[in-house]
Amino acid sequence: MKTILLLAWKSAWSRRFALGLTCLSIMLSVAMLVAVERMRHGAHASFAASVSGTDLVVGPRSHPVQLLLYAVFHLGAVENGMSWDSAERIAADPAVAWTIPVTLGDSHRGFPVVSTSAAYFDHYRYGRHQRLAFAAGTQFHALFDVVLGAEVARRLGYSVGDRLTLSHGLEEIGHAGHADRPFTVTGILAPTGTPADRTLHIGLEAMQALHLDWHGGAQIPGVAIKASDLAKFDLRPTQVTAVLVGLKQRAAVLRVQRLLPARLAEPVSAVMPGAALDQLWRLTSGVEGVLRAVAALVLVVALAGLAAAVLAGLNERRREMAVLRAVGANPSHIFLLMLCEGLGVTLAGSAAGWAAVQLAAWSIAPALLAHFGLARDIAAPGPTEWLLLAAVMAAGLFVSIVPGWRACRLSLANGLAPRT
Amino acid sequence: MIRRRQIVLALVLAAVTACAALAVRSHRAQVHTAPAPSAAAPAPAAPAALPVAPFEETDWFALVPGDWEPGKTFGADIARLGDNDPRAIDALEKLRASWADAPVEPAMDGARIKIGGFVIPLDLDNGAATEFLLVPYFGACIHAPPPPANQVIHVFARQPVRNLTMMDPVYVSGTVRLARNKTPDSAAGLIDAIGYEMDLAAVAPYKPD
Amino acid sequence: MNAAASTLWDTAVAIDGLRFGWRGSDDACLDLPHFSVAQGERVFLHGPSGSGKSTLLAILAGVLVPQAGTVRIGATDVAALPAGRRDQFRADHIGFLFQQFNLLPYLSVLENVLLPCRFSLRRRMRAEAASGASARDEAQRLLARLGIGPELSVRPTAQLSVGQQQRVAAARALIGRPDMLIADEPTSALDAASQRDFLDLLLAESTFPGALVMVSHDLRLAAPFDRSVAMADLNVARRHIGAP
Repeated sequence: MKTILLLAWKSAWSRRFALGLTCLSIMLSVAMLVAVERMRHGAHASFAASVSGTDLVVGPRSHPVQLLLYAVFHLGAVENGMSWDSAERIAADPAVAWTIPVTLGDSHRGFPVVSTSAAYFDHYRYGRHQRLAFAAGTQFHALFDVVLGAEVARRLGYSVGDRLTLSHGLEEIGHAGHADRPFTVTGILAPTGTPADRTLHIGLEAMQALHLDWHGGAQIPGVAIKASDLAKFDLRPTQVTAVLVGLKQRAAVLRVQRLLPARLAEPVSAVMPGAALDQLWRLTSGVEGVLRAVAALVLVVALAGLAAAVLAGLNERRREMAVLRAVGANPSHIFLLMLCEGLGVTLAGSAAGWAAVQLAAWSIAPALLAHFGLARDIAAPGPTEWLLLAAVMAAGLFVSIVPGWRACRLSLANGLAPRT
Repeated sequence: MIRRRQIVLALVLAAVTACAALAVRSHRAQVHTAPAPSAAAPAPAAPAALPVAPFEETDWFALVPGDWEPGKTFGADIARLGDNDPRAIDALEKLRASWADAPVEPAMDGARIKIGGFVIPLDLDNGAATEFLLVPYFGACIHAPPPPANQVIHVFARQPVRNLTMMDPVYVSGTVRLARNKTPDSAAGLIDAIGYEMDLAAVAPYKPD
Repeated sequence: MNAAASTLWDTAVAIDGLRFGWRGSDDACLDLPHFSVAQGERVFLHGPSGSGKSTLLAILAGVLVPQAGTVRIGATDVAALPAGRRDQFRADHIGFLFQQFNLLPYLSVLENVLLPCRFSLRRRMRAEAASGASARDEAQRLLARLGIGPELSVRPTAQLSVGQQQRVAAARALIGRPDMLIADEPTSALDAASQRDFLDLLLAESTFPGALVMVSHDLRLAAPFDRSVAMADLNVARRHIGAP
């Protein structure tokens, strides 16, 4: 067997240009397959980890997926907000254990700003029911305190005590900023691998204070309220984007989801995060399926190319096989030789494809974290990956049977003097 | 000439490939438990001397105490009312409200049952569900009204279960316990058992006979 | 000579009633009532192309199986062996030389010479015994005797001339002291000047108590052999099918 392996290796190496092309196509198809699996697995895991322990997300009437994506992942937008009155009524419901109101709208150098209550730091959970922890400092207390997510602090180089100003809306356009209200960093969160890493957290009152002298997206000219006067105003928020809800009894979620909106004065959507994510995955599964089908097709083509390349080369190798037969090889040795070659090329292509995806994942992960707040499991092999690679190897072996068989028959037919 | 060894080799290879393909497919389709990534506490095991009781196949009616008849107060007239009759709507509202306080069957505490239902995942860890709700009918959170409190089981899976999606029909086996309200209600004091919980022992996809 | 290390046969080769025809053709290509080679004898087989020389050699080597007859090499009827045992017999007892393209282009010279030792433990052990050290040393020694120095022996085979390649092939056929050497027109690809030299070298080195059967169409090379046989005398088949 060792002889066969050695011969297969040396023989394949001597034909490396022809085989190299098929190896490359196998590498591309395996890379595609692995990448789709990795992204799918990573996306599913990241999204699910970000809403651990939240039973309901209540917000203005909108599509469940839209509301979830905006309220939890800060992606996209919803048209309007929910009144503070509704948020208070939700908190007062006897079935509710805790609520975290969140309001979005401002940004800082590309990172979204979320205004929320202190309940966020007590009740927000992610991953396996893990609490938020502080890498430095504490949560906000004064009006213009801000707590930074880990990635924000790292990318922008902030530490506790630094001052920064926020921009209105998502873009830093001209003077649409809150330069008159600088914030002080009081805390930096430990990394979580969730959207919390790329968010700045301020208090609900701070958001209200920022927009007291604003109307319709711009500062009202001539009306500039000094920071010292702010204390005279009622800084209770009037609107929230959404409320994250935790129930005393999780099994009651179905009932609360149905009955709670009826008790509020305005139309709202109450979304179970698990159900909404499921809907999201149903939406994307079509695309995933297409990608997978394309990748599988490319693999089929690549493997067929491998068989064709080996088959085509068989003619020139008849003398080689005659020599092997003369020194005592039997036809099954020849068969094994072809098999080892095919398997070797498949193995090389699969390994290269997998390595390419792994490298890409390592380099993309920081960017993914910064832009989407999702980095879990992208850089680690998923559970189905090994099965996938094994299936590719089995397919390569299967495909190599064809040239192996042919070589075997040829050598039997030709004996020691092939017709050249 | 065909050598016997070659036939065997080719058959073995074909078998290996077929097995690999089947394994991939069944892995995707099947629901099975995956080992928890962190060191999990050992599964509760009965002492070696006692025999382990089997899981009794149960239906949802067994979770309802025999004497609970929420429609009893409305009388027989209810059937004669039209759908849009305000009294009928009012009665329906009262019925739905009573479902929130649907009592549990005390005999179910500690029962080892196997029951079929639909899944509503609550928490996912790495794509595997660690907690989910089991409900008797399809669409319990989408189209149909929510089931009464004694027709929902809050299942805890110590070993996360893979490939569970919303509304998957499954058979779950485990030990039921009565869920007690953990946070004191300031108005009424500690509220007693208001639902069912289960520690999951096994889960299998539902297959119609 | 160590009796345990060599096989002493009375008759090296004994063919009786051999009939062979290619699949798909009605007439027999080979019909040999009798042919034998004594132990240690060097036989020169000659005949025009198409006379079935190569086919006979392939049958002798156990690569082709005749439809009828016995092919005894030593004490074993090669024609009656199952395929796997035939291949192993060939690996253990027979060295084969082609007319050309004897070497695997992707192996080095030394690796080519050592090929039979990979397929036959018996020849490997004999090679090690002959050199006292390793089969590799024995290969080097043989190559040196055949005029291929150590600096050539690590070269890839493509860099050697045809004459050098044939000598490497001879070393491969001879390593591990097989009991029989079969050569199918080994000099036909060489130029006239080298043919005689090669033959002398080959005969000088194959001094083992086995048989040597060489086939050629060139009668001028028959001189150093013990016996010269014409295919036409051996083969009584009515029509000679073209050589495959």
